[in-house]
Amino acid sequence: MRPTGRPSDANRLVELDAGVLTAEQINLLINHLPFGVSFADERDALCLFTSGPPYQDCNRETIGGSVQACHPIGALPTLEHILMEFRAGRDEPFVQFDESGEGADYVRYFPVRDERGAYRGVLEVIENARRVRSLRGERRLRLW
Amino acid sequence: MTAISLDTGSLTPEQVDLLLKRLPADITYVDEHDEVRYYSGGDRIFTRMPVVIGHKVQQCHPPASIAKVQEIIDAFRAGRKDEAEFWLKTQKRFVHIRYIAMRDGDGRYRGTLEVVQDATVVRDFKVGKRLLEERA
Repeated sequence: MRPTGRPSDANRLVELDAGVLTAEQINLLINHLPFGVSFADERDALCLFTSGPPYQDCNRETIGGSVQACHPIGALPTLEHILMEFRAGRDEPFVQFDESGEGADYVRYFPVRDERGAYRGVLEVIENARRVRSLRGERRLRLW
Repeated sequence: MTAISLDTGSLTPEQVDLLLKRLPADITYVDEHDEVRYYSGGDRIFTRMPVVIGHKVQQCHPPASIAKVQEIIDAFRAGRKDEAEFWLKTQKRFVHIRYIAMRDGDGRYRGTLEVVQDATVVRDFKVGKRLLEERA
């Protein structure tokens, strides 16, 4: 089971575009997503990574630090290129598909922009694609 | 607005909104009382209307599927299942639908998360091919 600690302000109500959630519900929701998510803001500060795979071994103390600091040096040119392109206005995600490991990692980087179009950060989404690639035919709700 | 502290990070309410909207999946959250609490907006595969917020999930499904929805929720609540998975093809898309039981640190059922994804692109990737700039 994924760790789901209770935030200190668990009962605080947070109004979102479509719905009002408590801080605790937001924490639960993010940590039950069926993929890994990490997010760095417009100043490249790491704000979040989800508690399950592939971040289960990441050090929480990196949160608040620069996103560059939690990547191996070899990955920095790619990371800087992605950040530069997003800041320059690119809206399409960068996609990487790696089937060499057990998980068939499908990695995507998305620019996050606010309503005015200002760059507000980068979202990394990592999925194990093996399962969805193996599905055949259909399974609809009535067949459950 | 002050940030919300999470298990592994902290986000402002605005960041939560922006992040959930940018996810490459449509999210709907139904709480432990079976009431719809949240859905991510934008260009959704299955449309949601603001009026569903606060309604029972049983009221948001066609009569033909209510029994199945209820079965899934009952299994989640009782702890018999943690996930229910469906997939179907539309004219152009392969749609992957997952229902995930949300449990808190004490293992209590806290609701169901529906995650709907267009899995067409990832299914069509050819083995051995490595694309860096494919549109997702």
